[in-house]
Amino acid sequence: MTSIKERNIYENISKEDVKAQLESIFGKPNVTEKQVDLYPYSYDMTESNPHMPDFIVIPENESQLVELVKFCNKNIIPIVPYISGNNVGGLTIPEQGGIIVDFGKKMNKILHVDDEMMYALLEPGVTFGQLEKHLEENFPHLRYSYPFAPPYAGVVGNAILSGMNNLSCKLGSMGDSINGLEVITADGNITRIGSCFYGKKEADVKSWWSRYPMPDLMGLFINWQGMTGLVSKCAVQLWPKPNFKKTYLAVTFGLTDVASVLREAGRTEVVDDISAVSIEVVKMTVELPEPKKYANEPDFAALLVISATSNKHLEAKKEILEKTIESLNEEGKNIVLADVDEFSKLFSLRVRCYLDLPAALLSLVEYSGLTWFGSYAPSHKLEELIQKVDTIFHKHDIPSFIYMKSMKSSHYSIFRPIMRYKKFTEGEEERYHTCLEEITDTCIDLGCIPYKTPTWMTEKLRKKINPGWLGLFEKVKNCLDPNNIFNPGRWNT
Amino acid sequence: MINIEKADDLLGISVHNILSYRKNEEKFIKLVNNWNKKLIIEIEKFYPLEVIFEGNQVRFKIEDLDEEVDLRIMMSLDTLLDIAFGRLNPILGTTMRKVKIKGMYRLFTLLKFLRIFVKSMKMVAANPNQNYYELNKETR
Amino acid sequence: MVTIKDEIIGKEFLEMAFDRCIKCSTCKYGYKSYDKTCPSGEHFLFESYWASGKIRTIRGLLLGDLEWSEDILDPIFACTTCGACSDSCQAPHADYIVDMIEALRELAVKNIGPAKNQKLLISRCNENFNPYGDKNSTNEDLKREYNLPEKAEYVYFIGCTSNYRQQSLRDSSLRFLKRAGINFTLIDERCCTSPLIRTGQISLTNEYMNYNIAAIKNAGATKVITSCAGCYRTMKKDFKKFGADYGFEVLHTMELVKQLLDEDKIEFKSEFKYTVTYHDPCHLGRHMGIYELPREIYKKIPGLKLVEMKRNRNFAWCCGAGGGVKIGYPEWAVDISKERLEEASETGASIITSTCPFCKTNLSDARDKYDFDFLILDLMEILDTIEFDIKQN
Repeated sequence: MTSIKERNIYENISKEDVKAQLESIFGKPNVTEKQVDLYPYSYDMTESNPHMPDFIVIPENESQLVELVKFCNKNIIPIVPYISGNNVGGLTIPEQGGIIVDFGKKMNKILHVDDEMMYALLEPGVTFGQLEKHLEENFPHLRYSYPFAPPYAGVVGNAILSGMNNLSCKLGSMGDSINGLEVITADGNITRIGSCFYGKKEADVKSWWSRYPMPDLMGLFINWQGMTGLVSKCAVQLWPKPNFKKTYLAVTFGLTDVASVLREAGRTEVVDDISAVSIEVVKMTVELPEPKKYANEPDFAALLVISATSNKHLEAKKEILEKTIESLNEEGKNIVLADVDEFSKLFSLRVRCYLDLPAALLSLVEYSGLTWFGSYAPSHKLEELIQKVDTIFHKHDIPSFIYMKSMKSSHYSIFRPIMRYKKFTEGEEERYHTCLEEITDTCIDLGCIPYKTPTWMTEKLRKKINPGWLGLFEKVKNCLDPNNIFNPGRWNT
Repeated sequence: MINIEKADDLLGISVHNILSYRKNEEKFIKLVNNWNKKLIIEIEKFYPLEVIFEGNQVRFKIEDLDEEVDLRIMMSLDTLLDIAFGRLNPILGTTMRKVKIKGMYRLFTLLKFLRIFVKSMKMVAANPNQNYYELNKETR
Repeated sequence: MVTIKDEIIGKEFLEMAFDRCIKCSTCKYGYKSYDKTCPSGEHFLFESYWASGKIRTIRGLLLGDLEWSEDILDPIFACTTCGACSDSCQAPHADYIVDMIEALRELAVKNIGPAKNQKLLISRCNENFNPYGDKNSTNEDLKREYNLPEKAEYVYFIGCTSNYRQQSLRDSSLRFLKRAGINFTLIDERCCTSPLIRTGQISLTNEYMNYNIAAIKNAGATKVITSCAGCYRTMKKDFKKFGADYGFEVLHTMELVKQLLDEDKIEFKSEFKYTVTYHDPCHLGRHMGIYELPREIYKKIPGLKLVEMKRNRNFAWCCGAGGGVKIGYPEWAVDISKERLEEASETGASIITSTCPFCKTNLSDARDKYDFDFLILDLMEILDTIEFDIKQN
């Protein structure tokens, strides 16, 4: 894996002076440098190299963040943003030490929900569970889009890292659903991006309704893994919540048949979300942690969610979906479609965790480690991806755990081989990492682009990316963060 | 008490789930105990599942199935769900050729199968509880 | 697999903690209710104070990444072990989180000692057999006062908190048992050892458990009743864990009351015309799964209007006393209770009731410190004010 550059932060300023300054900004109870407090932040569930931060701070407002940024920029101290550490990519591990800013504990307010223009203005620490509860209690006719992630993963983190959620067949990447950002740049300036850019001092809470059409500065902060500034506010789009919803299960026999389901069902434009998992994952959910797939069992199970404003509307969508599956079967595919509410009752209610997002997914929380190659994938390559990755899993004697989604009416897909493992059992992390590296190389060769990338992965990507992109990327990074204080090391900066 | 083998194939897991619902019910125990029968359940497109009732044990097989079994029941997943959720009477299903049964002349065996399996399936389907996390607490 | 050199009762839980938990944070809030449920996490905020952080601390210590120092005490001991994390967690190790924390405390006591003041629990027990340090009561006075036999079918195990701090609760229970015609006696008790187990100080545990078991057997009893949630949990769960072979049935007084009501042996003759809200004690609720039983009793009391706090049953906010916090972090313990009283204020109830003397103590301390206008009464104290007939079937 990538070797970490050690930075000598305390060459020009003593640790005690840093502590004193941090305490004056945030207040003593909100600053710690105790080893026991730093330790839980030093590693995550993946095999990314651990590294202790020097301090944790818990901010309450932007002015504290501005002071922090100015201070850190002056003294060249790294700043790493943190919400709940649920990213599967080592993004919150402070590779060069420095200060972790824990947004999850206090900067977690839902500032405004706009019913007319359908958006929510959030502080970075707001979690999915929190947002879901708030909407259900106060705006039950609006919905957000939730990922296959625990309830306490961060909404803003998911959005600015282009997460994929349970409306993604309709909407695409969550990065596309951001209306506005408030960011703090290295010079300590607060910048509002999007329609909220009006107003010399403060923005009206009702002004966060669109990303466009001004020159799009938002791209300087989306998918940058916190490398260009600190996001202190984010407005995300909400959607009307239809009264009628139904989820179908498509079970496919034949290793790659599911690819057709994803593509064709996505193109019908009647489906809110299509997620598919290898059948081993279904078994993991029912307490078979290391399952086998038997020869004549189906290979994949896909959930297809449709919603509608009336029963008639729902029936019409259902008919389209059924006809699509029927056509695929006529072409020689082998797909069985069933009502998942009914199926789950007979099979096991535990699978309902996938229907109840945001939820603790019972297949993911088995052990102490979790890692993946999470990527945006070209839809026409899905068959080849499935075939090759399934072979790699079997080669390494690891249960095949492939998760896929159809995005934005099948414009592109998500392809995500996942591994759960015992992180602290000798040899296991190495074994799983070897498998993951092989999968990474295979998938990148087939055109997949990983998101939430650990540094060892970006090292591989850099070898394939055109020099123009790399050059521009470095220019932007150097321009916005000349002292490389924002999450240094990400993308091998 | 009835011991139902914990299966690791999809159909076996489902049948285990269905039969487990009543495994502490006295009537069910009386029905199953010492029934000593072998059945094959075939869901269209899926693989055949052999269910073996032996003493107070219920076991499953998906390979090396027995040639001679007491009942062989064949239907689609749709039909199975229709029966479970009360939309189709299983006997009517046979007349409509949605349910095919080999060994139907073994009337007592068939009737008992309906009481054991179909009734359990309907009870599971009728249970309004969808709470997977309460279930998770009980079973983990 | 990690090797744990220290000989501790909770070794298997430390081994379990070592390779579990991806820190998904589901433990932090009520599952699907998203309510705040973790007093230590909400107060101290840093990850080390939540369940997943404690599991990481276990790993850090076992791997040698963390050293034993004063700094490590608060994340380990500033936790009421209320079990809210255990209730919320959906992972396979969820049911063992409290055991992991207690094992971590055992390890800490072996290496560095418990939190400040918690050592007093042991020294007081050494002198007086109870964690309050009050002169030991053999309960002979009570036996005489209530005209109790030497041997009986039941032993009423008073528990230290009821005997030395909440005598009103004790006396209400004694009067109820007499009125109900229960054949019971008392023993010269040692602490059930709950406060010692919760703080990892287990040197006296086996001795006291065995002593109490022998005393109960000597009294000829096959059943033990207690009105303390802590004693109940310890006898029903921890005795087994510590290998104490007890062989008698353990009942909480409310289980006995419910039994009598179900058998139609009690007929209430007067009313209790108050609006009451029930605080679920952690040791009965989350730890033992008892939520509905007390509510069924309250609902049967004529005139009593039962209202629920927003966070109730498995989502109940801890009173703040448990896990050694009352003695280790006394001000914080009362502040935790303050939040509970604020919640109770929203219900319109004039009485907070519970079925645990320790909850009663801490809630009362918060009421007094912050001037809340509540009566805080145990179920047995409520029943003590009601006239009832005992029907001999």
